[in-house]
Amino acid sequence: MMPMQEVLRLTRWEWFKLRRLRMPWVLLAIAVLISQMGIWTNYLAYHNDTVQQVVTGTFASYSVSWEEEGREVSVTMTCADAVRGRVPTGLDQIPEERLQEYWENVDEWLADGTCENFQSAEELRRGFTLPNSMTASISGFSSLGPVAIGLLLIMILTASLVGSEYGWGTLRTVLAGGVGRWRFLSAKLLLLLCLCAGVLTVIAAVSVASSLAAGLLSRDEAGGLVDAGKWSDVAIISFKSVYGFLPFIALSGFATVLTSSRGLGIALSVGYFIVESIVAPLLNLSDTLANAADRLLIQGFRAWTATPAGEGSSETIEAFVTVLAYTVFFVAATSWIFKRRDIGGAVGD
Amino acid sequence: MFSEGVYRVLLVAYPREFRREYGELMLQFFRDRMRCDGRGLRRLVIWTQLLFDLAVSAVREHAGGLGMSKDRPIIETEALTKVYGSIAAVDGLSMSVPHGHAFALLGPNGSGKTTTMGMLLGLVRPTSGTFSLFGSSAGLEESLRRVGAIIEYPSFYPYLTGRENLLYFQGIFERGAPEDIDGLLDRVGLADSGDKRFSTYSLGMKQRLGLAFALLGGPEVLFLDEPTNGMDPAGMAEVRHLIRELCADGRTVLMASHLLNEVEQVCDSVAIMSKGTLIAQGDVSEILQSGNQIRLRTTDDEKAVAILSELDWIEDVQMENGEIVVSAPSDRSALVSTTLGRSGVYVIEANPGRGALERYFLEVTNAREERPENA
Repeated sequence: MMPMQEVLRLTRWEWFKLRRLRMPWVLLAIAVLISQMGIWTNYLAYHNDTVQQVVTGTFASYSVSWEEEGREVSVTMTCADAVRGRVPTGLDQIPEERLQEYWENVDEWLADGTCENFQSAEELRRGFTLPNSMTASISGFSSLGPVAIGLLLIMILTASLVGSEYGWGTLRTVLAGGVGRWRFLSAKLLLLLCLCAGVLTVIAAVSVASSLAAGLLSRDEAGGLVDAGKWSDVAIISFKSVYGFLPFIALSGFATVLTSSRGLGIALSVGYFIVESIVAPLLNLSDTLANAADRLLIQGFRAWTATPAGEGSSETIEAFVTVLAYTVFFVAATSWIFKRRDIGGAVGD
Repeated sequence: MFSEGVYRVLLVAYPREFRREYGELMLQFFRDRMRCDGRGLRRLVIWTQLLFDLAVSAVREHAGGLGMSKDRPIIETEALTKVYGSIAAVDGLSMSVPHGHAFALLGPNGSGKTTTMGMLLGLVRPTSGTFSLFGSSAGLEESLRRVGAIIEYPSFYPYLTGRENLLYFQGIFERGAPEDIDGLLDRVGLADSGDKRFSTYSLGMKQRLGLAFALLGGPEVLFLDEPTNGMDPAGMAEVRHLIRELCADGRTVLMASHLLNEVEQVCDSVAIMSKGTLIAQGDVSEILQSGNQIRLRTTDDEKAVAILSELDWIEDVQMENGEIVVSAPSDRSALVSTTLGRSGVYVIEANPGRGALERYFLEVTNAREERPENA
């Protein structure tokens, strides 16, 4: 049997094992839930200003008050009113001669950038209508948000998938049966790659369902289910995400094979993630070291996924090469160690 | 007929032993295929297939992969050494395991038995030395596909059932068929527990599953590391019986054990290891022939010793802690009591002493202990 056929066959059997584990399904559920949060936040913010205020943390407003016939009258302009072009309640009560002054003050207030985090109604709507909802949920899962959930889940899954073979001692059982070392490792990495693609497909499918549900809930309003946006962006962002995951799979695999332990594999790879997140901004403080910071793994990933979909530039190529270089390095180092090292019994990790 | 003549000539590519054993069968197979499909383009396809088979066979034989000869040892090691830091876990091990034998690696814990098996299975890289499986030192992965093994203790996926574990390994090794699994579970006494998770198995059940795993696809050689570890007496007896059955089938079993009686009951040959070194190797039957011990108490111990000392087939008689210790061939043990009875000395109590293998083991290990390091 050809080596690639053999790897594909082993990958199929890896899936046989993996699908019987609870952990990947739990991780998938977490991934899907988190990816859908963006869609429903947009939906709620579209319908309720308070939600957007909470999400953006912007509670600012501009108020004008005056006395009229012995009572105090006030008009309040919120960010939502300003961004969405709504006339605030009570504006018609402002005397003609003061209206001009009122608008000038509002312009001055907005010029400070107070409401810059606020999205327009169109932007919010695009967040829960197709195809943008799919693109946004995929990039929300894979790109580096505040918790980088996609990368963390992938690294945990990789370390578990490789490390549990050491912990249970099953690596010994597998290799003693004549399964080639690099083939077994390749099958695991290939499965992880397929899983990444699978997870993104599930996220995209659930996003379609979410958009349908959101569309049904707001069917009385103007606008259809499908809004502006390119369907091809979904494919491009999916490819970018899967490719961007590669070095992180390789990094976690390397850490696990190096330590022969699932727990240490997770700790090392997540630890690297944290350390680089701290070191990169420090390097950026120096003009000379800023260039080196751009070559770090997470910075490379950020540059690769941040480039607008479909836009080919020298920065994109640079980011592509950085991601590739880390992948090749970690895969080569992992294979070298895995091929040479003695395989012991179960370590119970 | 012309085709058959050419085919006969081409068969020369196969090893002689193989031709002798299977030549006629292959010719018959060739005739049958030609009779059924041997027309036009199909004839060409058959010839191409046959020529390809012959070429593959010749290449494998060149690499020593077929190892068809039953005279050739199935496992051979030459100065095999594994050093961890400054400690030699296995030190210059040279041994050969004959085809169809139950061969024991006997030694106390830490003597290097498992490390030796690990090296032969490609799990541990030898520091120096060489070894061959099926007469070939190349293509270990290919050779290992013909080997079933349990090392140290059976390690399987705890969240899968026994049946699923076997199905997985059957699939990745491509050994046998999924339909064989029920039969295997039944053979090792796990027919009713095959659908329970491995994590819920007792140690004995794990060992049984390990045996079923080792038997997947009917391998030619089995590596069994302490196969009865954790089993109840009935289970141990079953395993010993199974090993004998496998050898009777022509399979070779390399078993690591520290249980002398197990080796005595099951194995044909034994290699005794101590501190990583092979200190003795031989046929178990020959060692057993050297005699067993019986511990006796009689009505007149002094007279009994005198009588027994006169007999030429008694190897040794001596008093030890108020008992007479007699070394005699195992097949003549009963004669000791009869002979004494005829002389008016009656046996009050008779107990088996150390078995021949145990004595042999202690002799060789003690001799090594007493030997000065530089000797």
